[in-house]
Amino acid sequence: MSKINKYYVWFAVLAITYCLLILIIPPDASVLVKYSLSPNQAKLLSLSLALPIIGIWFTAFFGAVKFKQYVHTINESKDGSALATIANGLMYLAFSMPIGSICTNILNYVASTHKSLTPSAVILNNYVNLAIVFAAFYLIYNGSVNLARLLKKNAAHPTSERLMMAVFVIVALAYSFITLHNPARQFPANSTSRAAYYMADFPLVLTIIIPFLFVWFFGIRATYYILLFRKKVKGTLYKQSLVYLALGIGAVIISSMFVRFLVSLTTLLNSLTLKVLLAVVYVLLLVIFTGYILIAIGAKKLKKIEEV
Amino acid sequence: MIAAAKKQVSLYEKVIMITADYLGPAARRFIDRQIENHLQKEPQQLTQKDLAVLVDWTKLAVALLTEDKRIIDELSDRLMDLGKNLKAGH
Repeated sequence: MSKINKYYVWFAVLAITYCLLILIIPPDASVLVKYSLSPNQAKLLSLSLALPIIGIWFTAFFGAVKFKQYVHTINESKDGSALATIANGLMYLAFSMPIGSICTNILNYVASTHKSLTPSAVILNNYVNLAIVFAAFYLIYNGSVNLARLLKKNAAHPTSERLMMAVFVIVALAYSFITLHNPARQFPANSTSRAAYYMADFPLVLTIIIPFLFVWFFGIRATYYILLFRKKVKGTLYKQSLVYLALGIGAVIISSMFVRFLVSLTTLLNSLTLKVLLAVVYVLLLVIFTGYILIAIGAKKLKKIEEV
Repeated sequence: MIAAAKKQVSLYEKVIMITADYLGPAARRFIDRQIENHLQKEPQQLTQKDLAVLVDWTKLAVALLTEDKRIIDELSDRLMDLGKNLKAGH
């Protein structure tokens, strides 16, 4: 079986696992009460949400695979090596979505049947998601740095560099503030049935917030370097094809960052009505979907340059 | 003396430099492919006599990448000018 087909097989396994978990695991009783749903209604709602979500996962895998197929044709060159690292990072991000959802479903099951294990399950779920996202963003950042090195020296504009750092500082402060002021961060609070982290502030800062600050740092700088490469690289036709890839990677990075922000807003999200909650989720998924579509289009155009 | 001591840029490298204005990092791979597939020789063995054939194949290949006739004509004209400049002894 080719390596490319193996990715699609993994996708199928993860998608089927996710659907089976939805059918097998009883819905959270507090959610049924909060939104006035019967167990079957909740399962139907979850399955109806699952189909477009699985469609978006497939798009992510498709986009990442197309990108990997492109970089495979140029892997011996300097730009190919850098782009290959970014492609691996995007594949990690593609995997992070179904794995994260499956872990969350298992967590929900554990929380409903073994309440004493809920804190451990939440902590493990957070660390698994952090590990995958950290590795993904690190690879994308590493690849983007190598890509930027291909440009002439002083390609980066000092003003743009300062603006990028300003964006990082704002994002870092906002994330830290939101996380540390979430009343449900260590214990359930208000109307939430579960805390977001089940950690005291010190270990929360050390093992969750600081690593995620690195993730935001990697993500923002990677987006900057990729867009800088697209702007400064020579080649009229090459740049026309690269713009899709650059914008797609930027959209995926930014939307992935927003997803993590949502986790920090547990209490706020819980007070929203179901419709607003679904709208927020769908908008984010749409951005991720668009991002990976752009990556697939860009990879196809760049691959064509290597084939003619 | 200094000018004479400067390394002469080969025709192949000049072709790459011009093509890079359109295909960026993919230029060398693109030209290598055209020379190996259509001229059946190593890229570094490109001579002035091969230039006309190379330009024809390059024009065909670039036409598959863009519908912008201006870019296609500009690239082929610049590559053909290399041959004229070589004949003139530049």
